[in-house]
Amino acid sequence: MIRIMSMEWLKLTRRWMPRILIVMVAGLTVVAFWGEATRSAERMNLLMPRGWLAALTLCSFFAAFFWPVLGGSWAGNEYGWGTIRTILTRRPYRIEQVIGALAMLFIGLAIALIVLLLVASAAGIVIAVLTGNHLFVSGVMSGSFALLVLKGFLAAWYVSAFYLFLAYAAATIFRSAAVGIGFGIGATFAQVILFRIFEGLGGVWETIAKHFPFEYTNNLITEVVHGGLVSGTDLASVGANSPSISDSFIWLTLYSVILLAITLYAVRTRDVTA
Amino acid sequence: MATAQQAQPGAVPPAAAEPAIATEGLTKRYGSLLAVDHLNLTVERGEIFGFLGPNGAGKTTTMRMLLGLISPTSGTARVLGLDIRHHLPEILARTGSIIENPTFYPYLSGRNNLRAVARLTGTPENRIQPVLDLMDLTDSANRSFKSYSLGMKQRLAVGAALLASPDLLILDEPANGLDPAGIVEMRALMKRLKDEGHTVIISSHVLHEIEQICDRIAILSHGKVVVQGDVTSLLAGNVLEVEIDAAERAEAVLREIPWIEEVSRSGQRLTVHADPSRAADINRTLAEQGLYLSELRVREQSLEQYFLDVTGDAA
Repeated sequence: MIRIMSMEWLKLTRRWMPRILIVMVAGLTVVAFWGEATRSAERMNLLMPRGWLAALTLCSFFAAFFWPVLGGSWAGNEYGWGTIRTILTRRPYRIEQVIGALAMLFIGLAIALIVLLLVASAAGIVIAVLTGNHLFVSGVMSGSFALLVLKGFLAAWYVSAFYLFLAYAAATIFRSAAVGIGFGIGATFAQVILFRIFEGLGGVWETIAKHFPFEYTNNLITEVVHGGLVSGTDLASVGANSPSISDSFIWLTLYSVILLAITLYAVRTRDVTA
Repeated sequence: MATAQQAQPGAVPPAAAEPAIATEGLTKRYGSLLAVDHLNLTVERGEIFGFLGPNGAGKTTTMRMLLGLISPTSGTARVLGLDIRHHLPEILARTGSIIENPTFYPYLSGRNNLRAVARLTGTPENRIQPVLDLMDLTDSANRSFKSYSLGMKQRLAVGAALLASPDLLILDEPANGLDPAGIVEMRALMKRLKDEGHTVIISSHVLHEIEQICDRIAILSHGKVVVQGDVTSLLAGNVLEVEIDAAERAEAVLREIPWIEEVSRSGQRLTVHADPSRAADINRTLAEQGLYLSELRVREQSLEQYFLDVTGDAA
């Protein structure tokens, strides 16, 4: 496992695409901060240290549109370029190859989130300077708040990892980067559309819609961090019927385990014809 | 307590005494398509073995099976004395390969691609520079793989196959994309690898190269081995050329010999279809009739001609 992770780390640190994705998510976070800062109520959520919670909320939302690109291309390109042969004719541990690559991508995601928190910190400080506020709002930071930031970080990472994995699995199963990325991003749009339709149909359809992964990824971060944000603001608003943290965690884990099982079965049993 | 199965000190382990590759009834079926049909193949250790056949004959499918990329429908294969179904990691740790075309990460440099392979195989990174030197890629080692020419890509692939100093090399079209100088270098490299004790299996359409470097060959057609053996013996054929002054009389004499399949005459030259090992018998028979030869030799055919004869329409 260490060998494959070592190789994946080499690839991750030499490829431009992950860096470009981080820059894009960071850029969008800064733009979102800028937009939110124009509203005085929301502005309080952007100042440090609450800005970290706001950043994690925004990153969690952007996850559905950016990390599938990384997951889908990472897995799909191995088949498109034929490099899966380069790997498996040296180390034929197919499950190890998938787990090792995913483990390194998830580590990469955690690093990306740390970078995004640093960017958000800078953005929060700039907003504080421009609006005449203290750089670091006193009385907010405490042990429990730090724990909340940590939980928020883990929630944002978990949601990001879910979207990355969704595309990775699709790309692996269909042996195509395009399918992986398309499925990873398209699935979110499809869920939003289907949710509205199923909600309108009511009954069992509505119940099914409430178990869509998007429902859980969309609410998990807000459920985790809303207590640390200024109450009554948009960023702190939680829907009356939104799923609990444990429900979100359990259902997302369940979806991931099912998808992982299908992926590993395909990888384990299939001929490599790439 | 010692058992009969225990190896005696100094004894050669059974795996080391076995051929580099031995397949028995190896078969791969894709639905109704029989890609490889009960293949029985033996490659001895330390030889350069040519694996030939027209497109779609089953060469690459066989190589993929030997490397564990695809699973056989039936049959067995032992590589370096080990069963591919149970010892694939051990086999691959001692095997370098290129299958179809060089596959590397286009955004990584040549050096970093070798570094990736080294990390994957647990090979010390100090092996990278000697391999780059050997493959004449040092000057372009830091350029991205996507900027390489086909010949450079091919050389990098051979370098990657050699990185872990394998006992066995399985090379699918290693000369593909190389210029004439590169082909000559590749030929010298293969011979050197053989001299160092490596076993090399080469699949190629450059039959002239195969003829020059291979000890033995197997020709596949429609998933089956149609011929397998020593290159020199196979190309010797069964045609003898006789030059004699009294060609007309000699022809008449030879036509009476039952084990001669066919005789034809052109001026003072006779073409005799017979087992080359009976050349001395032909000489003696004619001499007994007072007919003395000025020349008798076995006609060697090119591998290209032999290949076309053997594969027929499939080629």
